[in-house]
Amino acid sequence: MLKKRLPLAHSTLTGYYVDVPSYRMLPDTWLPITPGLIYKDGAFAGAAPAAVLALSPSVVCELPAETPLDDLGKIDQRPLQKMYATHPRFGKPDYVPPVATDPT
Amino acid sequence: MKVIFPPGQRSNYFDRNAVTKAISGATSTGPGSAPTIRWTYTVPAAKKYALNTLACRNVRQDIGTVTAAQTFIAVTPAGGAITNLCTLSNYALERGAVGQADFSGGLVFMTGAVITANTSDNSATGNTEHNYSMTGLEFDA
Repeated sequence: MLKKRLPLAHSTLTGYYVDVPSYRMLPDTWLPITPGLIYKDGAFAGAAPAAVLALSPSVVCELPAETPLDDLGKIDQRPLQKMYATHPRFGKPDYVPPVATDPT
Repeated sequence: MKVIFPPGQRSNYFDRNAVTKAISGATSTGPGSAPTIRWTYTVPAAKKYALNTLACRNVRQDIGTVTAAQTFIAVTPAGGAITNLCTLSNYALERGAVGQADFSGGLVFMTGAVITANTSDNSATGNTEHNYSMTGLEFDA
């Protein structure tokens, strides 16, 4: 498994998520902790998603070991698209994986 | 009349480069936590996924008010609509209240299916612990 810090996204259908095909959030790794908006393992129920996303929240995730990375340690777009070639989102050329950084 | 069943042309799924894919997770939410996808597994191209077990559990760790803690695992087939596989809603307010939902079976998901573990907690006070896991086999389609 690879550990990476990844930015969070939000949709009204599913709530907060990480925009990669497979991941597992590690507990107590959300940042930045902000009273009333973000605690160590999530966003507060009453917090407006726009206000939370304005803080560029991120979380440490485990990614599958086969996740392709480039020389800089970022998720490599082309091989990832190939891995999920038939998926209606992750297999499309306009899907750009979020920027992964080393976990802190 | 003699009925003959010819042998299959392909090997069984568990002999087609099968790899165990198991994901588990836990979180403690509250008071109040927005809906969040805690983990996701997407079936890669040219693969299928045989789901063996699912489990959801949540436990109130403190006395709560206005609670509706939910833990569920859902699947979204490629190009399809999200469908819940295992849903757990816990409306109990007392400390130690446990909700648990388990599933075992032989569902097979096609390439591109996305399985997600989701949590939410509308409690105004107190914390809730959530657990969510699945096991299965990924194999050549």
